[in-house]
Amino acid sequence: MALSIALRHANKFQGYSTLSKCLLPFYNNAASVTCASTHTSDFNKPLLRNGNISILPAVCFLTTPNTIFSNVNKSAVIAQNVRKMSGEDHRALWKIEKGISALLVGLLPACVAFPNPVLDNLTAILTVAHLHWGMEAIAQDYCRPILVGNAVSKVALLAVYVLTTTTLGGLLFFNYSDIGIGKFVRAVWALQG
Amino acid sequence: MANELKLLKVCKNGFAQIRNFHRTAPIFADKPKNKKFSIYRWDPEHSGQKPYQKEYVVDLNKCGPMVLDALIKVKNEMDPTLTFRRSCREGICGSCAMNMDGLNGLACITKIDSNLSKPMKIYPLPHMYVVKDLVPDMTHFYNQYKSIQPWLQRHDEVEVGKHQYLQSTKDRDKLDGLYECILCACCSTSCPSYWWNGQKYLGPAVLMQAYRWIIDSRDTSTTERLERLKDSYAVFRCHTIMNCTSVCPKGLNPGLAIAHLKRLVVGLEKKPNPEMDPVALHNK
Repeated sequence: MALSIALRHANKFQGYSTLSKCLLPFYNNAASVTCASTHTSDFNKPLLRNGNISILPAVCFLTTPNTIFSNVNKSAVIAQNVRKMSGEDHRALWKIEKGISALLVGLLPACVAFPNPVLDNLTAILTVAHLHWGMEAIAQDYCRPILVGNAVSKVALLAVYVLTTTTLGGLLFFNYSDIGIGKFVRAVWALQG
Repeated sequence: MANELKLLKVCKNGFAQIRNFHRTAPIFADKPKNKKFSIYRWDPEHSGQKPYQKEYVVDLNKCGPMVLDALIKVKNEMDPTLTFRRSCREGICGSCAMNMDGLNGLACITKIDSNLSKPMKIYPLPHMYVVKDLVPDMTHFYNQYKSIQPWLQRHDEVEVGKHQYLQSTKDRDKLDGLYECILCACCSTSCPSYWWNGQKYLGPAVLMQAYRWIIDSRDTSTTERLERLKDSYAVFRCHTIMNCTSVCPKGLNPGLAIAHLKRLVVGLEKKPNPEMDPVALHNK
């Protein structure tokens, strides 16, 4: 298997890492994966800052499987393997996101079929929530700090919040001061060329 | 003797068919089928040199049908400095994963495009750090694989190796389509989400293996395994793009595995109880 081949040639990789400077930042990142328990630094920060350059990841990589198989200090190995995560629990939000997506399938036609203030406002809130999570994912995927810098990435996320709050405000204002979303869609469909 | 002649007569057509079957193109070829290969080259030892595409012309009549055959021919006969990984040459080891004509795959089981008018473009796996030419650095990928703890874990203190763990055939069937993964990384490196957030998102190959251990009826550390995937990146960065499933050289479906995994992580799906007590032999 590819893994065993890589293990066999891990020392060669180590050689390459000294040859090519451009690989170094990556290796440092990789080291922070394996040694996450000992370093609390951010993923994008190289280990250089900790003055810990002597820990080459290839060495890390070679030694840990041995300790796994020798079964000496299994808990230590497992602790070492803790992956750096963003920390927060996304499970509840994911369920809400998917629930609202499923709800919208029925809500949108219902809002047009039976226009009333309750459905109008519900449509406004849930559509905007749906839009917000979609746009947030786009901002996070396309405006990553590593690509556009920390400031731009934060501005992009802020822009998403501005977009969704103004959209929500606009839609609710329209619902209260005008005919409402459901009736509006009907009016558009009733237009004659 | 008469009987043998009779047998020969009966089998004559069969032999002819076998002979026809073995008529390969090179025997009847009249002119060379020259195919251009445009291969990504980069050598870290020439410091400051940027990656470039180098073209090689291979006569397909004098070459095997697969991309790896052409690469080996180039290395043997034209340019020994060309560097790539290969081992089993039959799609079992996953060493020769690379990007050919825009699609990830194993060079050893990907056919050379027979259209001679355009060159076949060969790159290393996309969005990986390159060690040299077509050799990508897999360290991060393997570290992520290690982070899901891909081995059997049990909480009970039975003596390991004394007896087998029991598993019903139905429970074993659940592992089909998962355990065949060779970790070639074709799927992970074809996933845009993995390109963008590869540091925090685990990627299809690793997630499918996480799922493989989570649904294994003999494994009891399901809760801990799922707990490790609860953040917004590890598994939830999957946008169901499904490039993983379309490129998998082994015909597996990491996309489906991730869908199940998401449902397991949030608790919409539960791991079924094992049909057989895995430690029944130990407790006898």
